[in-house]
Amino acid sequence: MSSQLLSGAVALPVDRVPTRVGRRCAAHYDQDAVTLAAEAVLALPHEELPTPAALLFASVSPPYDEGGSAQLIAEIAGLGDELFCAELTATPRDGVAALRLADALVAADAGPVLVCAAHVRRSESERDTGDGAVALLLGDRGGLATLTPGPSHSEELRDRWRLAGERAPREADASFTEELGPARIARIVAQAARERVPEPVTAGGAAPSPDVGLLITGPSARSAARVERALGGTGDRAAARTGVLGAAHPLLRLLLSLRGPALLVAASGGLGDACLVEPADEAAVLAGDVEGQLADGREVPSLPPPPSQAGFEPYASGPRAWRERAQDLRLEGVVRDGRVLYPPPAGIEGERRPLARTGSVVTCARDYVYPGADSLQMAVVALDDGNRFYGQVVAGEEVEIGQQVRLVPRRLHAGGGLVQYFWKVTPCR
Amino acid sequence: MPIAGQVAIIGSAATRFGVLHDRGYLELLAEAARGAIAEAGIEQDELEAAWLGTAEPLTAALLGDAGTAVTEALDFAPRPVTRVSTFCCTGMEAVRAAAMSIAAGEYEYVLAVGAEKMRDVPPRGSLVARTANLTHPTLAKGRTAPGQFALLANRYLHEYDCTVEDLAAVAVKNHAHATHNPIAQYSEPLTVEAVLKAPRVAEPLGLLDCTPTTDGAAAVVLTSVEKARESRCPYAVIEAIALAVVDGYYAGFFHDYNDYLGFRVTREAATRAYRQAGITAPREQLDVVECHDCFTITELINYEDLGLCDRGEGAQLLRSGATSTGGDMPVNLSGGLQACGHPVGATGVRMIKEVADQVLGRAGERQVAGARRGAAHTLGGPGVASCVAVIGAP
Repeated sequence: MSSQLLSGAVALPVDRVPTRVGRRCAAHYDQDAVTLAAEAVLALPHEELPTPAALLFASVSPPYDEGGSAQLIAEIAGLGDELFCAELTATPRDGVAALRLADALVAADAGPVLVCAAHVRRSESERDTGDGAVALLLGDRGGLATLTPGPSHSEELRDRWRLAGERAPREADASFTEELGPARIARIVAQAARERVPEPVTAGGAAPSPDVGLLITGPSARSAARVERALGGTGDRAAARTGVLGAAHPLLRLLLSLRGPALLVAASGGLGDACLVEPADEAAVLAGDVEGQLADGREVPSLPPPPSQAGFEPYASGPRAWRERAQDLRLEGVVRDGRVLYPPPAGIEGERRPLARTGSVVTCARDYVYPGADSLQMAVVALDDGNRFYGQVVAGEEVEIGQQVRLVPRRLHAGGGLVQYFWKVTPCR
Repeated sequence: MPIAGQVAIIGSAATRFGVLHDRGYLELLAEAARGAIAEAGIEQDELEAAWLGTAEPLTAALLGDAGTAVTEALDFAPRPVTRVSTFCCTGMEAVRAAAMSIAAGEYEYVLAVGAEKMRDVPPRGSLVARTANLTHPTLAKGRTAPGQFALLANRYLHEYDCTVEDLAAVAVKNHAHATHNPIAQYSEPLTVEAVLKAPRVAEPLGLLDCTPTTDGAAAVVLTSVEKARESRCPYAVIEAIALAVVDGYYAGFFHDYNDYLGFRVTREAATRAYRQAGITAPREQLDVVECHDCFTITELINYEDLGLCDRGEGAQLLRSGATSTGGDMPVNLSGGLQACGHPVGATGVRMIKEVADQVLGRAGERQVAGARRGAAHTLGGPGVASCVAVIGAP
């Protein structure tokens, strides 16, 4: 079976902090796997694409361990309420696992499938990881690349894991992981690929043909790169610019590889999966776009720690959040006399339409007494559709009167244990 | 009959405003109410109804959540007491509601009392944290009162001939006025330098650009002008009192009528009040004004919205000295919210008392010679409610 890659997009935080081997994308406290994934999904050229019938979300750092995060992404992106949503949250290799499931859904005529994956580092112990997200839309025809999943591997082996309720991952003894962990699994999968992938891809032993790139990702960028080079690949150059983006990393590498055929292998724990990527000529443009985003960014020495939440216990209500989800998550108002009324006035029925997501700053002010942040800039935005928005400026940015800005989804708080998402203001770049 | 010109203020009183750890909410309420009753020269039993203005009962263990607080504080049973709450217009709205009952002929004597106990909790806990915590989980989340007015300050500084020194000068002026007001929370003079060096609250506003949080109460006793005339006691006339409400609390932030250079709602309330009072040229026809200077920028904007000068000329009016003691349009001779403090429910009542004292010639060292008519103004919520009263001598 194979499916078609119809489009892809990445969402990388603006800030880049130095690492041992380069730099990593670093998200501020108001970003998480949901906001990053939603930004990636929103960055897809939806007007040119078929409506997805399913959304598969892969992340080992979802905001909710139970209760689901994928539906939030679907709500923010306005994907409709008939969507099949599922998520894979076990290992960083789940980005490729999601491709495999998406392929099966496409083959079963379920319709186009949106695969998105995201990662935010949860502790300093995650030395190699960076923050970011990737979204891919798969269909059955007319794509930028043909994706052929398989083979897979499964055995009980723990190199990095978290017990229920734990935030920071535990890691196995380094020598054990090095000798028997994901690198070995990746070799096994790559070896199996030799038997599956048709000529000329499999020419030449364990490695695919020299004409087919090899992309190996695992929790450790260093060991994955070592295996990749040993098998004839060129190594993971993205990891030194973004950090390893968890489950999103293999998908990032997939997009970067769209200049030629490649075998994508992801392994973590005792699990491994592969996917053969065979791009069409026009896919190189997308690869170039993604390459450009890797080169963008703002070098900063470090990010400030999240602000204290002492004394900040915001009101929350599950019924309200559900009732007003379109208002909150999609900024939808009601159309009356050709204008969007936002927030939607009580008792007014009619067409729902989202506010424009770009505009210019009418005024702004930095506030030093709001309890949920060390300081917080608020802004009033004259949106391009004639409406107004008033809200927070994203963490790490500053705007000024007259500046062109856009609205992006962000975390506001987690009052009452419910993560509350809304839209914030960020400069246009 | 209409309120305008038909309702008289025959008694008024206010407690000291400040951080009053030695007195509770009910004590403050009772002190102000009894003071107003005493000044009115009537017995408490002659009062037939009361209106209570308290905006934030959650800062005082829910005291003031209903009119029952007046019943308890004054042993007022079984007479009707109604609590009103309209953000920072709360106190003036209590007076308006009480005045309507007189105008309607329902009662002969009524009490309007505003009381607020805000400092049983720390300043940030009293309003800022409460607002940040209890307001809508998404809409306008991040809004604080100083942050909201800082939006106007920045836009105003961007658009008009105004500097941060001009903003500071508002605080300096009002604190200077308050040196003559024995009930003011702060009665020490300030300098521009001190205002500019104060800790930042919401740029460009520092701590001394902001009204403090305050305990206090104020009350007035109202009757009909006809009854007041018969009683031969001193009285002031409510020539006008108008409330305007232009939007909901959260929705207002998202609507484009707000240019962040002024408040439509003040202009609406002033238009209505001036019409009631027959005022067509407020600068010439008013002798004194108490306006809602919750932040320094607000006073400059109020000058314009109340028609004391053209839009964009608030700073020039301030610089001219017209709004200071001895000027031709003195504003906030009490010290305003800047120096008196702002016990929210009490503020509007205090303002009306201040203007009534001025037109009755009993404002002491703050007295404007020959004052016959003045206006009081409150602005509530995110600029969605405003009340303007015109008080005159008989």
